Amino acid sequence: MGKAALIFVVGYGLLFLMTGMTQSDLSVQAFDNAMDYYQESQLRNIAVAGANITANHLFRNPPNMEGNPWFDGYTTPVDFGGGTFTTTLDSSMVDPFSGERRMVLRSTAAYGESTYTMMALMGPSKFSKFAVWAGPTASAGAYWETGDSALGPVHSQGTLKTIGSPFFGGKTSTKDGVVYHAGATPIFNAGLETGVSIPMNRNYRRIEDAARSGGKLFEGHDDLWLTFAGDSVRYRRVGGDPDTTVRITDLAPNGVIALGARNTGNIYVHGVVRGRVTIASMDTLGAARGKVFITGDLTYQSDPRVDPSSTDMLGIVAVNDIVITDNSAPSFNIHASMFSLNGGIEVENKNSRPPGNLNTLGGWIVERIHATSNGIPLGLPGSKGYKAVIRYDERFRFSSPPHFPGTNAYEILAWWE
Amino acid sequence: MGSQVALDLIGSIVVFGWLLLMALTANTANNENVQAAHSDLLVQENLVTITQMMEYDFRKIGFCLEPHRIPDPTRAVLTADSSHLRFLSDVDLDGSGPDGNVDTVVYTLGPETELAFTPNPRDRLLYRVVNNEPPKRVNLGVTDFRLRYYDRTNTVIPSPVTGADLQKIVSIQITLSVENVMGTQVVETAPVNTQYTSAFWQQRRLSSRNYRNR
Repeated sequence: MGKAALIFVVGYGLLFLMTGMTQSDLSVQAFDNAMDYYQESQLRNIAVAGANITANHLFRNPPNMEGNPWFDGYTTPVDFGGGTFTTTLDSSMVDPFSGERRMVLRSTAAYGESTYTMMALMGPSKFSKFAVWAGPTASAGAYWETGDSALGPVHSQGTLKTIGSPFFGGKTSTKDGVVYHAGATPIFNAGLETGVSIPMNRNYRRIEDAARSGGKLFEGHDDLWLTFAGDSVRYRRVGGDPDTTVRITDLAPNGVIALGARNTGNIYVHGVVRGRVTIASMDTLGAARGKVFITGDLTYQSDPRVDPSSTDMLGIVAVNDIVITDNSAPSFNIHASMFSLNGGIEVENKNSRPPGNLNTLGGWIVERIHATSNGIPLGLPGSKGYKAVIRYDERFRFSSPPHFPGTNAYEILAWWE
Repeated sequence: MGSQVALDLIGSIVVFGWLLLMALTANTANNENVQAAHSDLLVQENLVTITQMMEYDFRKIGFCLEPHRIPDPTRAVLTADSSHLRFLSDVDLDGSGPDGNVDTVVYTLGPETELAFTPNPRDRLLYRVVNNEPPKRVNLGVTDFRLRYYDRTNTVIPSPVTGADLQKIVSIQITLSVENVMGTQVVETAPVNTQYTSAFWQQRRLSSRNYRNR
């Protein structure tokens, strides 16, 4: 009886021991499981932190801009969150449209025995990414009114003044809020954000450098008349003189055609554009100069809304106003991202010309918002001038006309984590 | 054999029987405990697997190695409902990294009736479908999968999210419950009771960085 009891006790002791070990093993596995999840989260967080720190450096000291040297990233492991990270930068990728270099930022985290790498693609940020960007003086400018519409990113660095029911189809932001005149009911279809500051950076002068080397820079006192005809352009400097016809790629291999900054004049332009072109009127000697007059429809040969593979892309840069000349047409079509440093889009004879729409495929990047009509809605008696109908060219989210003014910063194009 | 010996024998049988009964009960309880622990582990592993997969995918909403193929990442969410999400991304299909092509990813919860044959009456299939491939059926014991969508002011966007509201999504709250598919039988109770170990996980605000690009 004593022996049997002993065997009994020892046997069950062993049985409980094994059970305990199994239980313990299960607990360890569950703990390991939780730790794996934690470790993976921690790794990812460290890698993201590394990418953010590097991106911050790039935003503050954009490499190869404003005289900044190239930055290789944090190539020596940096202690962070119980692990380390290293980051690298390379410019091996190229924008298939503009040919500009993109930066690839890779951040590798090490935590315990594990490593994790994430990636961000970055490219130079251009003002063409806006459907509308209006400067601080927009607060003193005209109202967006019924019949006006802007589809795409809209930003006002002052107030956004509204009357009636203008339509904003893309994300809209303002620095100083929205003015609702007399119970205005603007439609913000993709949301409105106030208190957002996106200041203008005046690095437009690079265009002149680009026109001088690889493009076409016109100098000397005279206006410039341009008529685009597909892949060719006709130009003259003096009204009444015969045109010179030349292929755009022969005239300006890099696509930049500019009227120089010193005592030149204005640009007059219309036609059909094929290829990637930026025209710039750079004269800064007075408010009557440095303008671009659009004398008739200025459109792409291949409309990207119809043919998404279209590579036609136009930028218009002016120191002062971009003027829509009165051609008595009931509507006016412009395919371009238009940048006016000190002015806006001015509709000539807005109070007397036939009523209709000023159709833009691209964007308005302007300091001032000018009235484009006499304020009477289309279809009503007495209506004159144009309503602003701005349709964003979606390609400008990731690409831009050649050497279009940039924000002097890089922006994130894609983020992989 | 005298009466004393007989009494000893009877006594020892009673004591032995009592000990044996105790041992068997303890053994059963142990087995149930081990089974429950296994079940806990299984549920936890399933939960971690699903959450890691979802976090991995959802953080890449709107990503493409060739950014011009998703020019506006805020439009990457195509349909969004309380237990259904369809979005654009550049998925690593073969383990070699993103290929620059846009893929459509769908997460959706199947009906309970689909898994009526399993002991657990609440488990459902959680589908992850990339492009138009046939849905893979893996039962990980998901009993609840809920999505809530938030705009940039952290305000809930009512589901289903439609039209222009889809562009307002900047973060997603994911709620997930997983239970053991087979359950653990507790024999000590009468009638036999089946318990389903469960685990709950919630990601308060998961946001794809790509929403804020450009």
